[in-house]
Amino acid sequence: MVALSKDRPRHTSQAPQAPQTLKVLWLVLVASYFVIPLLATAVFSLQGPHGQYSLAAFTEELSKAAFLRSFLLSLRLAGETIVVSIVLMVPTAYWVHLRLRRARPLVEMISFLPFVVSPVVLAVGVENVFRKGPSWFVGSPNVLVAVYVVLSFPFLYRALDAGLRSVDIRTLTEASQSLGVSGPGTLGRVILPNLASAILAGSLLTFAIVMGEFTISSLLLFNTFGVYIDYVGTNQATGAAALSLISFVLTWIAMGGIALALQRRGAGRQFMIGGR
Amino acid sequence: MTRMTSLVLDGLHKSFGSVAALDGLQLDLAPGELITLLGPSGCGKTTALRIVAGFQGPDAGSVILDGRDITSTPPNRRDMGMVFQSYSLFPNMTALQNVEFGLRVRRRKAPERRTRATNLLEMVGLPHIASRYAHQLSGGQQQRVALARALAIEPRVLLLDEPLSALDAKVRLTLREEIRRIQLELGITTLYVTHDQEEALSISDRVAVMAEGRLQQVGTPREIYSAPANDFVAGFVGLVNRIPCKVTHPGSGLVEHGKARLRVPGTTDLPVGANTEILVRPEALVPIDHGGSPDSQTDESTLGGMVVASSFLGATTRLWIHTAGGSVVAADVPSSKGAQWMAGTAVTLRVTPGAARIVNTSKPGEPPDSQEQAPPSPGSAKSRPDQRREHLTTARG
Amino acid sequence: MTTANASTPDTKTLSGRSGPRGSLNGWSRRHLAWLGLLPFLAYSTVFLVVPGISVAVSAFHTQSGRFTTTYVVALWHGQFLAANENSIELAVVTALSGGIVGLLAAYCMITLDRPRWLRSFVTTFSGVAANFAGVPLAFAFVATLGTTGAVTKLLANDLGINLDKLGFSLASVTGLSVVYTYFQVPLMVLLVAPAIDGLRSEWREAASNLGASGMRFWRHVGLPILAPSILGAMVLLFASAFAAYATAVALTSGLVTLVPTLIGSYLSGNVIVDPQMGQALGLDMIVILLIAVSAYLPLQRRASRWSR
Repeated sequence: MVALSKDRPRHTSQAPQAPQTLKVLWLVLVASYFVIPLLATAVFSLQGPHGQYSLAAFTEELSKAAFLRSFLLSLRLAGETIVVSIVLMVPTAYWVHLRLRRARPLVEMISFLPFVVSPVVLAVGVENVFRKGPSWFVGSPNVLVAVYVVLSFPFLYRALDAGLRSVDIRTLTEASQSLGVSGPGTLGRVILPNLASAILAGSLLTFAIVMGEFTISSLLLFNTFGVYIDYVGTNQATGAAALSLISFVLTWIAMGGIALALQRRGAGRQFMIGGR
Repeated sequence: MTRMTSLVLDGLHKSFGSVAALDGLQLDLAPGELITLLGPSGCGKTTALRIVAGFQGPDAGSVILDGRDITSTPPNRRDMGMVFQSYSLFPNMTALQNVEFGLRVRRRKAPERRTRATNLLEMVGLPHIASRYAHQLSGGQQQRVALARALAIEPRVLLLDEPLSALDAKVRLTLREEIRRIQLELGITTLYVTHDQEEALSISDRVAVMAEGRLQQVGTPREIYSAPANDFVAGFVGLVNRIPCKVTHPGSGLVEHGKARLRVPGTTDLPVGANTEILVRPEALVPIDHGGSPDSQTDESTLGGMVVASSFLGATTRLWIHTAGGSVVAADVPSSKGAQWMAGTAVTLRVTPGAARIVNTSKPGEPPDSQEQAPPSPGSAKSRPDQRREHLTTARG
Repeated sequence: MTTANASTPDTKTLSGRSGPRGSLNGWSRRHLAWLGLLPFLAYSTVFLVVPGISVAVSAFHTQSGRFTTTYVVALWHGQFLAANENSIELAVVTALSGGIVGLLAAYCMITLDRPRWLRSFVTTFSGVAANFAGVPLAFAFVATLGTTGAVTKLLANDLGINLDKLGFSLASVTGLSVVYTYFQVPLMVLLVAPAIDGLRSEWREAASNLGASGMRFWRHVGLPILAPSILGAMVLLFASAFAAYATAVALTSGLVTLVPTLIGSYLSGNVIVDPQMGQALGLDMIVILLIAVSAYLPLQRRASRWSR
């Protein structure tokens, strides 16, 4: 999207538009649909056993060993997924931009495939293919990391693609090489710093998605944070509400981080679109 | 085929926050006249145009079309054709559909629309691209289509907002001549905004130079160039040499630059010993010899110096000369004679009589403030209010 | 470190790119460049393409490995047909509701000048809400519109409206639609905001200058320009709702048959009869999403052509 000239106020023209009050009203109406369930969850989570308000649900849930185990597992998976997907995708996106423009449609198509092979189907497929695989892989959460990396393809590639477009990578690379920097040196010292905010945004989105992931881990029988919340919900409603709020706050932190990371870049609000 | 319409911008004021974009703009356009609003970015020229078009309302003042106040008329009822800087073609329509759009809104019959739009595309020289979309057209073609679209509704006034600034130099040149040809052919009253002084001088009936939301001078291109009303106009329109001088004989009109004596008009009231600047166009400095004789330094209205550089500009060659008085000035010579003024040669320049103007006088001892081709800053205007006003004539020719 | 040393990579690239060394070198270079893509291609083949193909292939085979079309044919019957109908209805309804609400919200957000923080707040919140799906979202709605939810109680006690008697339940297609809208609206906002942003003020002004009212602008210029982006975004919303699994599982625990939840119950062994049916449903899902995505891509291309 091209930015408009900045010295001109953009929407102050007298050309007819819907009245301001109508717009505000609509936004308030939509906002209430989004806020009410959150408020209801908050109120629900604060209900004590005898009708009074208390933080019991939070303190109780947070002190359980099972919670801690699942939460730490999800944290670990998120970290590993981020590392693997960055190591895989950053050089790929760079290469496609710099040397192999012909391959761009192919890479774009593949990184769009997770929308076609949705998480449920992916779980079925992985089960088909790796059922008899080595137990260090199939029997451990490592298999989840492998699949989560695939889930991160669409938006991580888009983030990197937008980031690479905005820095004129070819000129940067040529400038760097003409100054005598080697190929890997160029990637590490010139390209990566310019991609930092795109990478950070992609990582935070990956984080948010892995922390809330339920489909694949539940189908492949791993006890991640998402699966644990569901388990708590079957017998302890206030606890589930408390955990839901915590999950919501985590998502907020990730998205707030993305907003900060992209503050100086006009581009790429679409980085916030994940998968589920 | 076009109605002859007069347009008056009457005392327009407009502020954005604390910044005054327009500060009492007064401008009359005679029927069929093309006036250019010329000025640096942020001088308020675009704001003025948008107020005329109706996209913005003025804080005070009014827009009068054929004697009728249209200040509060919404833009879609003003019957004005506007050409924007760029990207204004509707991307979902072909060139022909774009040109037809205004007529479609006016519920004209399809055959009539088609004929008129086709004629207009022919007029702008693009009959063959009628079925193309904006993204299939070059920048110059897009602007031609935009012009045809604006003319299709037979507007009472044509407004052009820097229509050439996004184009290549070559296209810019041909298209500006074409705009002028069509404007003269249709006799349509036109307000043209640009920051390019060459463009303004070449196509306008009159040029209105603006700075800081105020009109600096209105006049024919010739007047603006040869008799700039003030320092700002002189600096903004064309290249001008500023030569620092000291007033020596105010009665006989003599000032000194180093040891050279120059005769300029307008010194009578100045105190002896005051520091001042004179403005001279490069073509008014004529190299007359190689400055061998020592007494040439004392000749009246000549400057001695040394050529430090020269740049070939095509028909003319521009010499950069370090004067004996310690300034660097530009002098234009025909390129046929350019070869004899190599860098390093000594030179004597004659100032064409009557071509020098005096500005920026300060009291004896104080240095004059120099503003090289920049709009006057609020600070300098405030610190020397009397000086400013002296040279400021918002005269209308 | 000598100058000669430092200039080595430079000369190498120069001679490599445009040097007179002949086409053989150029040919091999061009093919070697594909090596750089190998890690990505290998990874996506192993963890994405092969699993996907395995589902499609298994759908046509019995457990013992014989070819059969029984399972794929069964998709047109009974509960499998119902699951498809439910899933498609849910996806279409929420793509429309989320699409329209989100489009208007994005438009309001972009065209309101004040307050200044509005835009970044709405965008960030949309990011949160679009990703706040699954189990936590399900519980949030249980706490709101469930049988003992806050809004349910409020409506019953203060307004005398009994949602249960009206036939509303979260564990129904209608109930799920209300919940899914929660992530569909923000998704729409994020998808169409750039397109609305790309509507140049020049177009609006040119239209108005040529005599068009606001309505006419939208009919002839604004909406036609936005149409590919809006349709493309709605197709993605359709895909996102059709594929959603966690929210449905947590809310309905199987009460509403949907394609993804049905696949889930086959995979987790809750249905013992004909486990290969899960593979056929997986193929079903791949095909429907493939159709959606192949509708999206050309729309996307068309939209980006106009937004330069």
